Amino acid sequence: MKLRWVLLLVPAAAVAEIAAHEVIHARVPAEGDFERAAVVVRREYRDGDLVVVAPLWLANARRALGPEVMPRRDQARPDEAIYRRLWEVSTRGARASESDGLAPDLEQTFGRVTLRRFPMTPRARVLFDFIEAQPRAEVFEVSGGRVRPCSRHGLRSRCEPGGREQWVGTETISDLDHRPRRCVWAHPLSRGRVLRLHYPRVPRGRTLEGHTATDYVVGRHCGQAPVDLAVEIDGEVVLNVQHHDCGGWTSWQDFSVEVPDGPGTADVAFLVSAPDPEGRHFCFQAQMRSPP
Amino acid sequence: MKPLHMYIMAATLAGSLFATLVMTADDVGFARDEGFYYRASLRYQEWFDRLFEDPSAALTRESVDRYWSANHEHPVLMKTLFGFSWRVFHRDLGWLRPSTALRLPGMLMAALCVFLAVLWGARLHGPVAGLAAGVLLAAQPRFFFHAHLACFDVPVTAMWIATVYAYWKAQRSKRWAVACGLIWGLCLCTKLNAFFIPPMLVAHHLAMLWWERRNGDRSRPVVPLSLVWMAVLGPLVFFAHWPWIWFDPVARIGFYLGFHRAHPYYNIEYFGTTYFRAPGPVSFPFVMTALTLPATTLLLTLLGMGARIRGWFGRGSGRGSGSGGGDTLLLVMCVLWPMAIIAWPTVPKFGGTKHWLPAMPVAAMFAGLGLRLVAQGLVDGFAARARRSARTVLAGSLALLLIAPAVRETVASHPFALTHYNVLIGGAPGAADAGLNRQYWGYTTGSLVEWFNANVEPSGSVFFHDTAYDSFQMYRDDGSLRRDIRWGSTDDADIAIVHHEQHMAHVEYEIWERFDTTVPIRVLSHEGVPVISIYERNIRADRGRP
Repeated sequence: MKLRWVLLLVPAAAVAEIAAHEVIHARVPAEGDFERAAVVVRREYRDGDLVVVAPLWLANARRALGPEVMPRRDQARPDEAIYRRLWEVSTRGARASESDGLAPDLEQTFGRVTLRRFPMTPRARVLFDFIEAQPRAEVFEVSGGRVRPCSRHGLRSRCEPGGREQWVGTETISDLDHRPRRCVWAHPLSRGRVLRLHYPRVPRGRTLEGHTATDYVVGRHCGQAPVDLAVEIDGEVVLNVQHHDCGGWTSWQDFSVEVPDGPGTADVAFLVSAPDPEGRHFCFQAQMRSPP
Repeated sequence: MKPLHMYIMAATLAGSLFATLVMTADDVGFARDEGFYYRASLRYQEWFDRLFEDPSAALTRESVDRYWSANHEHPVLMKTLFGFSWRVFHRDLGWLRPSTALRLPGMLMAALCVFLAVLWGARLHGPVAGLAAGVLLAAQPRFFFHAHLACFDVPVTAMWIATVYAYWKAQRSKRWAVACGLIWGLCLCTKLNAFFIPPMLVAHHLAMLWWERRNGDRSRPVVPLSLVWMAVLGPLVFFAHWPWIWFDPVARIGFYLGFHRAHPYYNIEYFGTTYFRAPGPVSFPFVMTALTLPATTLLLTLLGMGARIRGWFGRGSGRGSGSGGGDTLLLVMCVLWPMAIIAWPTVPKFGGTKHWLPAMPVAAMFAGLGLRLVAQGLVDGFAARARRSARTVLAGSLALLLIAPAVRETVASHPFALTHYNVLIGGAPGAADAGLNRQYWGYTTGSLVEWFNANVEPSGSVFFHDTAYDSFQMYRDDGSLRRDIRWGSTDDADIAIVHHEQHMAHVEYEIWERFDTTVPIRVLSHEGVPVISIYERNIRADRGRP
């Protein structure tokens, strides 16, 4: 091939670059596309639905969908076990990981936005959510057999003076995959003391399921002391979990325990401790669950 | 082309860039580091006030320490220039806003980069290639962005290219050897990058010494005069320019070097992973360059570089790429060395592409050569028998076509150049999908100032996330942000913004919790990719923290 024909590829590349740039711009969804998809979701939304956006960075879609269909409980969920339907709002052919293996029963396009709905088979129903109930939990510090209530400050408790992170309350953290996770922030106490969160009269389910985590900012270093979490039901320790920052494939580490038979309600307590509590931005999530 | 015409051409293009930067300065919000430099610059001016009033008092150690301790992790040449520009163009003449006055010296340095790229490019590759080099440097989205800022990355790029240009000239001129030492001294006064120039020049010199002696040419001196002057003048200029080191030079220069030797590994997202400690990805500077330079400019750079290397080894015609193997080696080193430094696994990687900006003027010179060779080759190939005027029109049209994507992309990227990526990755959306850094420095807040002015309640507060407090103050001092808008935290602010970066996702989730919502009320986007989300406090949310 003669050189001149090869050189012709360069201006051709320039034209292609300009054209490609125009295509990129043309594929940007208009705000109205999101709005029209959101109208359908809001109209059809019902209890047990989960709404996700793809790609995950599509904040524009979240804005259009609105808070009614994107409650924090769902957006910072522990897993997808309880949902009956999945709505997926996407652009540019993206798919949410939650829709893997599911077949849509509805698919509509609104300009550059695609809306899909997938039926899901729930694996569990929630009888009691320890995050939602956290503001009513009783929080204590336990030291050498002595139990002392921690002080209340609004919706949070504090058991010892200290840094900005040493409190107990609800929080939404980022796990190591940068996913939002809602949980009970329960920073371990110093000097070997144990943090005890007590939930009286919890409806008794088949299993108590949850996760442990440390916040991304500290958890990503992987080198700090483990955190111990013990679960008591009616005064008996039924589970001991040790959370290591990078102990699994994710910082969002699950646990599950069969709930012993008993009357309709149970007293549940979570005991948090760490050999070295420095920088242990620990939190956990738990639900009392039954089959659907 | 006569030298005078070359200077006029270079100055015209540099002046055009400078004027464009001044006109577009208000579009670009204040970067985190700019906030720190603003404060330090004004502090240094207080010392000059004192110096003008009472020199003996100003020159005491106590006085020097009081005024020059601010931001002493960087040398002070540019901050001093920022301050004098503020003094003259804002305080005394009232011509410019404080921020634009502070930014002016950085813009001049960008213009100097273009001037030198045109001048050197024209000298080596002809006027068309030189002119194209200037345009293709100015029309790099990230260079154009950094050129607006009162920071050091573009100034050190200018000093770097000026030093190397002086070294190149000094091969035939003793006066340029002295200038080389002086300019490198100024480079030392600009930013740490200067320390990496001598190893490159020494390596170049030794390579050429070996190469020429192998071929029987013993004309090159064993020790070049330029390096001698660098060794002599560099430290002197550096010492003289920085009052903070005058009274305790060993300890304080030791602090300065130690600070950068143990520089923190800031976060940088690269293909979905946030790197925050060594080892970092070796491919980072090369891939980021490939994905942020306009694609046609990248292609022209590779063509120009290839042509020069081919010419050096005597294969093919070389097509007027210059005959000097030493020049070729120097130019190639100028492009690769700044990237190689950052590629080293233990060197912290952050700040997108700004740490190897010194490679870009020479990359643009290669691109200019590439453009000239392509245009010339096509005109010769397809219009060899056409009239001269027709050939000129064809060549000019081709040049415009080859420059157009870069200009188009730079315009489109403004003022979100740190979010912007080229078409090879699918633009900003493709880069977001691929998990590439979305932005840094919190400067995009500037694009929301009008929104804040219109929407924040009287005396309301805003959590400004990654914006530095000094940058927030500058928005107020500049008159762009309402003065009653207060600086807030996620606990107490009425409005919160989040600058989208992977490692700061936790801030957004914290806002969800504090503001009791997962839904922003507004999203600032570039090519559909969120840059900032704005949240409004839900009054049911708990405001108190223990």
